[in-house]
Amino acid sequence: MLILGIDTATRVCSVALLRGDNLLGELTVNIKKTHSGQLMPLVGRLLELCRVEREELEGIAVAAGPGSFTGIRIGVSTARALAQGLAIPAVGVSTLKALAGAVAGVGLLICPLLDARRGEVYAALYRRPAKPPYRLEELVSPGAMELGELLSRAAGYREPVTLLGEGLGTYRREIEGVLGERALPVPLGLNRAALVAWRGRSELEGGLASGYEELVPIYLRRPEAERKLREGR
Amino acid sequence: MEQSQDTGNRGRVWILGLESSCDETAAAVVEDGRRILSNRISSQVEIHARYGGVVPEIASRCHLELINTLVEQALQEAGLTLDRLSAIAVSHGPGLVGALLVGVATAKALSYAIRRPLIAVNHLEAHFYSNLLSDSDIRFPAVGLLASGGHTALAYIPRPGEILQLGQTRDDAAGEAFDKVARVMGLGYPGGPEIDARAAEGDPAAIDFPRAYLEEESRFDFSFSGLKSAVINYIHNLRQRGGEENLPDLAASFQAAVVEVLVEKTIGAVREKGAATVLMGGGVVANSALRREMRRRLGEECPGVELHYPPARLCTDNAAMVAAAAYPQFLASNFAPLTLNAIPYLQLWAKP
Ligand SMILES: [Zn+2]
Repeated sequence: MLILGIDTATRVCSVALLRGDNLLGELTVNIKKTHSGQLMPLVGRLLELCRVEREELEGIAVAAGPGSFTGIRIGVSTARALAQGLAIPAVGVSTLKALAGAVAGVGLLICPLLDARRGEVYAALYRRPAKPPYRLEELVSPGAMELGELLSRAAGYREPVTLLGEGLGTYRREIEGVLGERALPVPLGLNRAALVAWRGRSELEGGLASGYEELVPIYLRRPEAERKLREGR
Repeated sequence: MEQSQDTGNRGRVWILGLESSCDETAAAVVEDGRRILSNRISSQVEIHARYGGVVPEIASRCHLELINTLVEQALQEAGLTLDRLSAIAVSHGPGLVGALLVGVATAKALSYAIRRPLIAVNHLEAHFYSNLLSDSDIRFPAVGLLASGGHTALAYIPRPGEILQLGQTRDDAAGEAFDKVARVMGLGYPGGPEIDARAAEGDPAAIDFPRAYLEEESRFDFSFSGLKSAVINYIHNLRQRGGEENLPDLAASFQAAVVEVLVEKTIGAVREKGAATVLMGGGVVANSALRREMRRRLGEECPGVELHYPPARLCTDNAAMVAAAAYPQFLASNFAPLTLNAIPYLQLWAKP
């Protein structure tokens, strides 16, 4: 199955083409520029470079969040409309799970984390068990949480923690302060569309993807105004 | 960037319009820039009412979940499929950036997927095109008065597809003044219809509120913040003295002040430009006093000049006007690239 992967959830704007377990190509840009202007030209360029016609696409996987609200909306809106226009299925993939997929070893603690602003991170803590089918086990569920809380839970395991994601750059000092030498950052461990396409592959190939109507962002946080209204009560 | 533009000569032009600049998600199909084949709108007014105004993040979330379904419905109602469309048009500004981005991303991806050209439409300019959807014979040149919750502006429209600056508001938009005054008066949101209804039973000359006409070089600009403050002060002073305001008189007097300025400046522009027509657009055009006064004074002072305003359902934000505004651009092959972005502060006369 020929799958287009899209990830605009963080500062990275990335698109990838995956055929089976073969990555045909990936374009990843990590500069401070709007994803809105970049995304579709990147898609067009990638297909050209890979000599693929848009009509040949068979499925779309998109990083649905958590991440920047605006970023994930650009990705998800684009994925929905491409799926609608090409009449193909599309799936939303957790940004954190896609990141965790970059770590292949078994038995490791894996901690993807993104900066969620307001002193919080979007993060989760997983372990890939040493037994088949090696499905990620969720130790801390994905959510917006205080960095200190996440780190103390991770430290509680007294094992090395494999860390990746954009939040690493922002919080390096705090992370090393708590985990010390047990913090193992993954080199170049940023969001990438190939990871998203990989993550969405089994759902798409298994025919489990629903229509674009069901494809919605994973915000993990209510709008600020809604929270204030609830708290005001 | 290669983008096939299959605009071949097949007679009818069917444009799909998308609109998501504020709190209305909409999709519509318009034939040859004039005939509405479908016009689907989903309003979020009730969702935002409890916040006393549009919450951008909530609006953006709603747009995303609705827009593709509205496209589907608009096509179905028009009896068309995506592959039969001639082009995709989208409002790319002005408006709430997060909200606009949903429409822009959707339009770009659809345009790419179905290999049809993308047309960027100025939302404000599109409001004038609502008139072309209801009145088939409109003479040009025209003067356009746009009055809505977010904008108030005067434009010169020599011919379809062209628009030039005359003036705009320096502070509050006319609709915004209605909303704020309605809130102080204890009326609901949105304030326009509430004030219009109360004013029907009041005396427009009861209270002499200020009218801002501004200096000569800004004669086509607007300012409503002084009027808004005057009304708020009037109510506060009255309440402090233990009095209670006469809502109908207050509503009628405030409304008369807004309407007088809008009409006076429009007539000034018609005279200066020798326009054949006045085109009104925007939510405030639903106001009955504005329609009545504009018609009366044009009839008395500029005989022969025609007045057009859209029916109520086309006054507020919709996607049919977006598709209609895209038509002259389609004929001129004025297509947008896939790098198209949302422009939250796009000016009425800015050309994409
Ligand atoms: Zn509008």
